[in-house]
Amino acid sequence: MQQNSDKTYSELSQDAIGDEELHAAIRMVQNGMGKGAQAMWREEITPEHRRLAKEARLRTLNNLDAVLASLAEKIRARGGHVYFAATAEDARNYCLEVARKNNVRLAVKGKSMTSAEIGMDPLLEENGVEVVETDLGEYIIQLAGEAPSHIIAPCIHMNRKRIGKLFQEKLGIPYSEDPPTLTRAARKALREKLLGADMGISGCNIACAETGHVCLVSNEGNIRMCTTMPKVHVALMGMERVTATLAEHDMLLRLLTRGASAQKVSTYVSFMGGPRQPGETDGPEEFHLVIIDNGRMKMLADPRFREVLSCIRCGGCLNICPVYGRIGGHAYNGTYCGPIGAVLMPLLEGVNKHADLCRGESLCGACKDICPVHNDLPRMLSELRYMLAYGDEKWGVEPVDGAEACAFKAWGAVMSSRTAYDLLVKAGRIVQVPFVKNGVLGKGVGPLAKWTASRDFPPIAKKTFAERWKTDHAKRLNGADNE
Amino acid sequence: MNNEQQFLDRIRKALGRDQAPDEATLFSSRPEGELEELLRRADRDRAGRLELLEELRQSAVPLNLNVHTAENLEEAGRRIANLALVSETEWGGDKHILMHDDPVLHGLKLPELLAGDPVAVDVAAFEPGEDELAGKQRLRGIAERAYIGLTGADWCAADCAAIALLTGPGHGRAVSLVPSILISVVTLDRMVADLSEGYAQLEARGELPASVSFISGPSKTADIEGQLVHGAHGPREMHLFVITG
Repeated sequence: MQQNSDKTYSELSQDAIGDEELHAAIRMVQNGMGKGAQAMWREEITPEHRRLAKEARLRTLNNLDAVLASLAEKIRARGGHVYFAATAEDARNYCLEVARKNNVRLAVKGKSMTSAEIGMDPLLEENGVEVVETDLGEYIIQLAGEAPSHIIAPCIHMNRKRIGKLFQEKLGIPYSEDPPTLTRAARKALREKLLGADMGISGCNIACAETGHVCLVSNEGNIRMCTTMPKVHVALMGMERVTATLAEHDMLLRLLTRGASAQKVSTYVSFMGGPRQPGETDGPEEFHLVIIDNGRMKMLADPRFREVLSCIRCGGCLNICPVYGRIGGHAYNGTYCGPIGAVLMPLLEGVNKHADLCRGESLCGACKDICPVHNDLPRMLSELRYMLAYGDEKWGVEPVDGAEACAFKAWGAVMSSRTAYDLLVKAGRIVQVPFVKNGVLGKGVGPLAKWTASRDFPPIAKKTFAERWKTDHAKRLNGADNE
Repeated sequence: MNNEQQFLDRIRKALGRDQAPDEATLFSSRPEGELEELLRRADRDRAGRLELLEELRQSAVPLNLNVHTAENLEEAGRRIANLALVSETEWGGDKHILMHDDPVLHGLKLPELLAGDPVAVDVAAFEPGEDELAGKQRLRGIAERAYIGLTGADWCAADCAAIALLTGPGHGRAVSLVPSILISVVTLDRMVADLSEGYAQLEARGELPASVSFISGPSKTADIEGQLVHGAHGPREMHLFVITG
């Protein structure tokens, strides 16, 4: 799995918060694609459509066994191979096996986050297979030896000058910072790779079980190249990325391209369900679909998190999230970033390991609003925080801070008892005296110090509302009686 | 127990049930009569289709897709031949056109129209008795050299300017992908309003071939600072001819 930096979430976030260029780039994406998607939800897609789409996603998840069995059966009927991988290791070993059997020297990839999730590239490369990314953005960051910072715009953190220098150095072309010139240079370099490769590797946006196809969207055409020209095509698919019927596919595709990039439809939508059929003049001779669990089964089994598997990975939540907008994708330091990454990474790799991600988001709810299927990421982040506070046996989560948990338990007890609450207020009035300056609590001690570093806390009032109510209201009532 | 059964059993366990669900309800998620309604809607009269053509012209503009109309195949053939003469090759070499083996495309009579010109027209189909793998290799070579790929379309959706291509013998995938310029020819009766009507056409077919593609315009990317550039990996230019006669 992709782990890109030894720095912590806080350190990486601090780096990013000072990076004006990064903010400008993300602003462009958020203003363009994020606002564009929101406009489409208002103007083109009814709330009912999104509700039905979510319903379809959950229905598929609740019947995932039958749906995947049908998908596999249809693909096998066309002569394709289907492999069910329980772990990342199983999945990458299968890919290596396919590569070995076919004497693959060069593999081309059409954007697959799942391949990064299962750590496929390093294994293939260790075994003498050159792996080349073909999505322009992915290619650029591969040349630069960096990690993607956005689900669908992987190199937004790099400006044209850096890309120009990179191409000058790696592709041996004269320096240019003109995007059309740079794109043409990449087109030429990658065409050689695409036409020379023995194996094409793709992900899967939304498969369709009824017809037996994986389906991929792209604007560049690299995915069609990867899946058409090499003699072997391997498609990697998280086990949840499937619809039961073509009708549901129609419904979801419209949400996918709009959510991702505010497009009615991407330039290319490709359904692929097997190798070249007899009589056909092209297409791969071998087709493999790898259906991957790698931790998803646990999400499916837990009613708190089954919903996250409805995600169609459009990346829409990145295009609106205020936290992502400030810290960028690299701060998340894992395969999936943004709000969806903040839920997925802890569930895939360990809640304690990614504790910072669960706590970093603001729970403002923008991600839920823009999500084409209204995935309640804020709710799931709260569930994750709950696990971190109190531990969770099923997910092997250790409580992060026992003292904090105790403090909040005690707080809960006090707040639910009138007598205890009144006593605490009385005690607080005395304890706070030395800390009140200029009418506010400006300098807390212990764990409160961090909170008050940038905020002032109002002191406990001399008389609380409840106390005033008792005395003043009683007075008024009595006064009324006297009149 | 094999790998698939184990996997599916784990799913059942995760879902908390022992048996597979009832597939009859699962695979009929459309409300009753919806498909028939979509198909009826798509079966519109000439005036309705001409309206869709206008809509297509509008939706094609931002996609940089050139929409042309021609009365009949002869007119379309002449204009495509002209286009072939004025267009340059991207990678050098001779001018090759590679076309699907399709009755509509044969009706354009391009080999005759271009007989006196330095433009070769090849059909992406096996020759009689040709070994399939050898033929595939031969056609791949032509596709890589070709500057124009010529296809028909199963349908064309007006609201998003997408055409659908279904693979089959004589309808290879590379023709619409590898050459620098894609020209597609579609008759007016193939116009549908939107993707939903298009999906309904696919659904009504029953079985689908190994590969289906929707294409709406030339290949593009905005990966460098969000600036839109056409011609990333697929064709850098696309023309759609609608035959109205």
